[in-house]
Amino acid sequence: MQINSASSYTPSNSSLATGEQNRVAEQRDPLRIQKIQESSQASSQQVKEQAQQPPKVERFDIDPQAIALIEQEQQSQQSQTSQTLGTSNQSSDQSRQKTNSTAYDQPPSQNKSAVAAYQSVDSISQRENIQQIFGVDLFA
Amino acid sequence: MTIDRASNRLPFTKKYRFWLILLCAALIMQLPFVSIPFKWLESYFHEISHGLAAIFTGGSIVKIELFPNGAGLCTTRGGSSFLISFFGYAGAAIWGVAIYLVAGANQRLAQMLSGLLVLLISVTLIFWVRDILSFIIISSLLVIILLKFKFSKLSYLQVSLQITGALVLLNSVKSPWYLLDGRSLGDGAALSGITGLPEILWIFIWFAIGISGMIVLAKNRV
Repeated sequence: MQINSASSYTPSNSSLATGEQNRVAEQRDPLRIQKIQESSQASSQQVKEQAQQPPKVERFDIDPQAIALIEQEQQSQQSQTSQTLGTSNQSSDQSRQKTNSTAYDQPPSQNKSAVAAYQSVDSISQRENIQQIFGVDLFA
Repeated sequence: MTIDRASNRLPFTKKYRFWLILLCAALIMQLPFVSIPFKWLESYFHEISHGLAAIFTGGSIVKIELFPNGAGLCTTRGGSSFLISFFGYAGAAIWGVAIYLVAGANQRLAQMLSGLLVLLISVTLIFWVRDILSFIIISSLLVIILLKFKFSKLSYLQVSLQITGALVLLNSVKSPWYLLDGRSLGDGAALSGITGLPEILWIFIWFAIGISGMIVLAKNRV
């Protein structure tokens, strides 16, 4: 009487099954390993190529004028915010002190525009006065 | 028909008197040194027209300057800027027509016109001339007008005044075209700035005024 091992002896079957699974896993693993090996080989090739290539130098040009402009803008913004909002933090005070130390007597832009507006009005009135007093027309 | 017959009976010099005088004026303008005082005369009438326009529109004349090259400058205070600017070239053309017509109308009127011109130039010298060069130039114009009184015959005075009028008119037709120099300076540019109309339009208007004056004088046969 023949006994089907698969059906009558399960552990062996199971062992067989596990063996099959292991085999399948083993069959899959070589593929994974191959892939990993391929990828590692490719990366190593890239590294080698990179190593063979001359080293790239990343350029980072610094324009001192642009930096100065940015600093000025930052300073003016800081001074504006400190004037409008008021600063209680020591850190902000320190930063303001720093800005004051760098731009000592530079008036803020608001004050600048106010002075310019005042001067323009003043010059218009002066111009009108001059036209009224000395107002002459030239005809050639 | 009767008018045509009457005009046909007129002698050649009487019939074409204006054109002959205009031709004479055109020839004088071409002469190198003789033309200079007449250029000053045209410039004087141009500037005095600016000044009179200022006075008639409520302003006043500050000073009048004339330069040897025939240029001039009138400084005014107040008045209508538009009319003052416009009556530079237009006024010169009107002066030319008026001098020619009045001088040709009557010998007595010609004398009166000469006297009026002497008075006008004298007033200009006294009140509105502030520099030596302009004083010399305008004084020489006064001398030219005064010399006309020395003519033995009044008819010579008439002809000389008519030639003077034709010269002023001819210059007033020619002068506006000098404004087309691309510099946007002068009366045309001033009027363009006031009205927004292009400078060339004002040049054409002044030219048209001068040509109209010539047509009027040609038709009047005085």
